[in-house]
Amino acid sequence: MPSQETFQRLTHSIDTVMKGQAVAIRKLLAAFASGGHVLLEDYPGTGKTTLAKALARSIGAAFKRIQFTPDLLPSDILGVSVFDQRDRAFHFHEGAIFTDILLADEINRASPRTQSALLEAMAEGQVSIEGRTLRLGELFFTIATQNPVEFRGTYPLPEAQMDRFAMQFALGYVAPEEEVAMLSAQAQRHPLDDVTPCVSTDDVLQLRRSVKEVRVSDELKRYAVDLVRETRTVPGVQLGASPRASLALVKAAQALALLDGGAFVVPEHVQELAVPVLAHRLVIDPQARFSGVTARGIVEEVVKKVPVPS
Amino acid sequence: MSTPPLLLGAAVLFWGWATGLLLPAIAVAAILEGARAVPWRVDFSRRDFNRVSDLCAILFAGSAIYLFTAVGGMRVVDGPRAITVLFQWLPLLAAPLVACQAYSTAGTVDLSVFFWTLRKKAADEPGASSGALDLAYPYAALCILSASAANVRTPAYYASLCLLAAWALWSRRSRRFSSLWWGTSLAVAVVAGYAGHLALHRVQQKLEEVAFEYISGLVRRDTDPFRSTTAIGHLGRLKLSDRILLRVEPAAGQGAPILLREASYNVYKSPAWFALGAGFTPVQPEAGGETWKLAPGPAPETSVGVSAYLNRGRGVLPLPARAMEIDGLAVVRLSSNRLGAVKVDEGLGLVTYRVRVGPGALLDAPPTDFDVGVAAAESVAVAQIADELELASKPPAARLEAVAAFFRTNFHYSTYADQPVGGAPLEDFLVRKRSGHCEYFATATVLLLRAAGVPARYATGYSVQEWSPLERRYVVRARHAHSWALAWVEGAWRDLDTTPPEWVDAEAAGVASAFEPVSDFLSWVVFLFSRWRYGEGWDGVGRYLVWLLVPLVLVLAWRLYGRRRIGRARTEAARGEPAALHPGADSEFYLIADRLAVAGLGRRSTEPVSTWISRLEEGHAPVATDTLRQIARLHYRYRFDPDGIGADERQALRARVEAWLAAPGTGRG
Repeated sequence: MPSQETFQRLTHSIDTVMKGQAVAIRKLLAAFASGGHVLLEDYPGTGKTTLAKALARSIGAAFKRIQFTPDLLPSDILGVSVFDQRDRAFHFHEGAIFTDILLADEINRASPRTQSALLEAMAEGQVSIEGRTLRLGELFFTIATQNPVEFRGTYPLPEAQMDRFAMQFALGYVAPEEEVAMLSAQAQRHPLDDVTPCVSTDDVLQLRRSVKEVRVSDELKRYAVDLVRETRTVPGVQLGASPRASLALVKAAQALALLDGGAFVVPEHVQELAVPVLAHRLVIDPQARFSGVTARGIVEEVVKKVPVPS
Repeated sequence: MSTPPLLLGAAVLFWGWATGLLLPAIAVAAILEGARAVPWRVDFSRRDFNRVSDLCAILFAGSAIYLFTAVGGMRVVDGPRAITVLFQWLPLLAAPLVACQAYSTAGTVDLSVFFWTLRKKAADEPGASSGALDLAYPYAALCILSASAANVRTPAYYASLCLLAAWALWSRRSRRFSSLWWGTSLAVAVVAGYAGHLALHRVQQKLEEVAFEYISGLVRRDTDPFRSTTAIGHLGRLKLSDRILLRVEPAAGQGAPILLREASYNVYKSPAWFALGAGFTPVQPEAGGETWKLAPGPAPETSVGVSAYLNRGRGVLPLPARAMEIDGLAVVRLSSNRLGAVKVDEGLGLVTYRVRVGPGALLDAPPTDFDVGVAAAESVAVAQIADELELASKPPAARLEAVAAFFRTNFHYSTYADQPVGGAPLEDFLVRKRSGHCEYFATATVLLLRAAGVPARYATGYSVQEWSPLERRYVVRARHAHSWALAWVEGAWRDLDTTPPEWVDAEAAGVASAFEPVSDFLSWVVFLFSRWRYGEGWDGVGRYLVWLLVPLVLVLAWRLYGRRRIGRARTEAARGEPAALHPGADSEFYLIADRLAVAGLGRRSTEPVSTWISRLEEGHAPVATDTLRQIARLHYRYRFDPDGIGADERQALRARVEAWLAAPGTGRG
């Protein structure tokens, strides 16, 4: 299946469930197609989990979800060896992470130790347990949700973990008309139940290969790097965006270009993704944060400061 | 420089024309505008700029010293005018710094040049920049402002100001609006400015009137030798200030006189004393012009020095009793009257003089009919007291003693006057209240003496009693103003002060403040400055101060040019980034962008092309945005697709741009 059609089918399929969230779906698919993981941060009840499930169901892929709670242990995620009385040997029982699409729900409610169990898997697509390294599936994609950090019973994600996510964005509340439509749609049964796989795992892998072929000019690579570098010099920022951020920005821009049917990246793609790709990686000075500075605001300022190629 | 060509030069020439400094102006204009013609630039460092800035500051200070101190043949202008002249010279004094900017590779001046604190900061963190300032426009504004100080009272000034402003604004106008709009707005501003200046002038006049009234209520009234209005009959507390008015220096080994008289009066009409038949006659100076003989005869040795401020160089001089001669008084015209008042008609703001005192002074004329009369209002009370004291039966000298004793024993001093009990205020004082201030005492004494048949006059002046350890001389404050009686006894006028001696302390208690030492010190500094300013003591020092500047300037110039580095500016190379990063930089799309920028619809540097086009669309700009989008799409492929575009598409881009540019009404506003 051509990449363009894969995109269209996925968009359409998710859109039947998530009405009025075209922008969020666009970002999600860009991250998914570029092989990056996604962190959704929003208030409870805005459809984070539904979005993740809609994506998983639209692909005929293995899907598992972990509900993160304060007493969740790393072994619950990665798996554990259990002694078998019959053959007197340890057998490894795979954890939830051995899947294609992993929904880590309310990830910031677990302790940092458990959150860190995801680090290796997200960065390298493998897990090391009991001295063995196990490869994950080629498709492996994490979509995590979290409640705003200020909420009760949350542990902020460590910077290293944050950096593993290619993108973080919010869904936001939909327009009143969309909300009414949602009520009507869910009157009888949840539209999520009607979602059937519309693309195959192979299609997705093919899509990811196509993304890598999208052309990026040196000038735009430079522009992406300039944006990232600029975040490191802004006053009030303790930790700027990493080189991994530049990489994620260009990759996601490639995916977005493909999503738009283009064969090459244009400056608009880079600009559109700057906030979702860069903002969550910044660590803001506590003093600046208390004076109202937000990471999102900083990235928006940076975009308004660095001259864009035309 | 950021100003359009020749604007700065024109501003400088305008300044030169208005202030009459045309030759320096031509030189400065040539230097500043010449910077556009020469291909080289000097690589001034921040320290060089600091030095030039210091040079300008020293030139400014030097000019100020020169203008304020130069005397004699070198004197350009006097006092207050010097400030105006200094203001007029400002563009010349600032020219070195602006010239340095014009010829520097930086093209701007670092802000730290102007502030010590920023300089310190710059020295602490060499990398940090404190912000740069382009002096071109501020300098043009300075020229126009300084030209205003020349006060050319013709429409030419405002016209030139508008012309220069229009010139500067024209080059910076928004291309988005037509020139007609621009011109109309400017015309409105010009008219509003003119009307505003007239209104401002009106307001200033009004304010000046109000301020004058206010201030004249505050300052000391000049002594009027013809009339002295007393506070007799006033209710409430008498308030006098602490200000030091006179400084008295008796000759070595002699005590200070107790009273310094300014004037005496002969007719009382409550509440004022008048001097009748007291016309002034000029006093002729002796050879040398600074010695004035008030009475004939050889000058005695006994003398006292007095320093007094004169309001606008005019006023009555305080003199000790029996003054015969005034020495060292540098005034143009002096006159005296037969009641002993000596008046300066034309002089300086501060006079210092020595008064020689002799026994046979004839300054005060013998008594006339005016000196014996008692007005009807007070006659009953006065006659009653005179009867009680049995004055008529005593010899004249004893009458004085009796009157003094009467006041000494029965009266006390008070600056506070409460409700009158009844009758004339003076009658109240004499018969019932028996307390009052010096004017009561003096007036009552004069009237009593007259009732007793002794000719008497009412004298006003100052009582000398405070020795200032700071200044090592006597000082006389405003609250030491005093009045007393003059009595004609045995062919001479004698001072008779019947006010109880505690009056000094009583008045001091009324106004004493914790700040008195400070204000006294300041007063002394002002006095020293005034004395120096009015040409005493340090005469001609100013001319030498000017010469001190010469080595200073030479040293600065040497330090500045000893470290000069000349570098050829490589502006072409510095502009822009390596060309390799810019494939497709020759795209014709930029022609459209330039055309729209001229129309005020330019793309912002951080705005991608599609955002820009959307913005134009939302702003209902007269631009065919659909076509523009198509062209932009081709342009993007040419620019950002590493594979580039084919020759035919390249041709299509070119053709479309040409068609767009040729189409009427695209981006012409």
